[in-house]
Amino acid sequence: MRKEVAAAIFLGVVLGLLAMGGFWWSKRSSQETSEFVTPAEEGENTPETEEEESLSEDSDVFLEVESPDEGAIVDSEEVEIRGKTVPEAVVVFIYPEGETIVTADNNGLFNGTVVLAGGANEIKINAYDYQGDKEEEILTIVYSTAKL
Amino acid sequence: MIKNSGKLATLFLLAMFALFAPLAVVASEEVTGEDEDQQKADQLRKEVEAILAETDGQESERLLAKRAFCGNLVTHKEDAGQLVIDVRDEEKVGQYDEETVMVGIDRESIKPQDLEIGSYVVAMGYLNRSGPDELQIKRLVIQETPAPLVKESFFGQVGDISSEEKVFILNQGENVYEVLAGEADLSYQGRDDVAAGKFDQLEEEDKVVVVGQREDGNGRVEASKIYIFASKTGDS
Repeated sequence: MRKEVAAAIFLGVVLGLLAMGGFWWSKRSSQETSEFVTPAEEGENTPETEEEESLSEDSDVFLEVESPDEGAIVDSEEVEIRGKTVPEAVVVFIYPEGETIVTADNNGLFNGTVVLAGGANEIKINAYDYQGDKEEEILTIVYSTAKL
Repeated sequence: MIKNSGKLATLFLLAMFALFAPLAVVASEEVTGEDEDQQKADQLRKEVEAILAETDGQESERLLAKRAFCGNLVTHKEDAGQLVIDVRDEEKVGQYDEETVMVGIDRESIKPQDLEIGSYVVAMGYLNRSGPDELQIKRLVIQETPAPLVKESFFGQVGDISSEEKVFILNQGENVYEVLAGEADLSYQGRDDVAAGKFDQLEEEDKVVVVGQREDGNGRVEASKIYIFASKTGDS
């Protein structure tokens, strides 16, 4: 009788350990699986490659005003306008208080100072390339010293 | 027989106990583990929320841009505190509240009911970069409609020149202008920067940019600035 009880206990413990071990192993393997990301899944999260900006060699004149933004509010009488156009273009600023002519550098970068009147100022910006092709932008800047 | 059945039953019960006791322990541990995970997740969430709340103000400030909408007032919904302004043929919406300062055309303080449709307004405030294109108006000023810019720029090639009268012909494709340059500042590209020049430096076939005001009804342009883009002689 004692032998049989001991055998039963031993058998039960072995079976119990086996069951516990199996349960632990299956749980761990499932966790490990979830930690891995398949290349396909990884690819889903990869940001799209930005299209490379390419400028045609024979592109027409363009004009981009980089600063200030349209509707900007400034608290000084003079403001510098920066932008980009074709290299060595002539850039003309026409504004209520006068006009300014500047030339773009070899990279097409330009900057020019305009004088503002109090309130809203409409500024006409024209860029000309050597052939006389023209591009125009209108910019409104507000000169106000009032605190907002 | 009965004795053997008793033994078998005891054996079976012991085996079952030994088999299920560990499983019960594992199950209870798992529940405890899940609770701990949940608590950690809750704590982490609270910490993240606290950080976000702290930085929310700074982020909002960064997203706000000081802007102005300038144009004629199209509509005014006083009950909603909403204005629609025609900004160069584009309708822009602005919101005002009781803290918005409104200034009339004579610099006097005015109230929302004083706003008139068609008035030229300069609405200044803040625009949320990440939100709708709607201005939170802090200050609104009524002013006279700005006079349109009458000056233009012209690109062309210099034709006949009259040095005495300081007048020259500008050929711009099919258009021909007579440029009155008596009061104009002349400039050209120097070595480093735009340099001041004299009318005498102007030569026929030079490519120039002229800024001036066109006279009504004829091809005359009263120039205020002339820039020699490219000179025939290559001096400029």
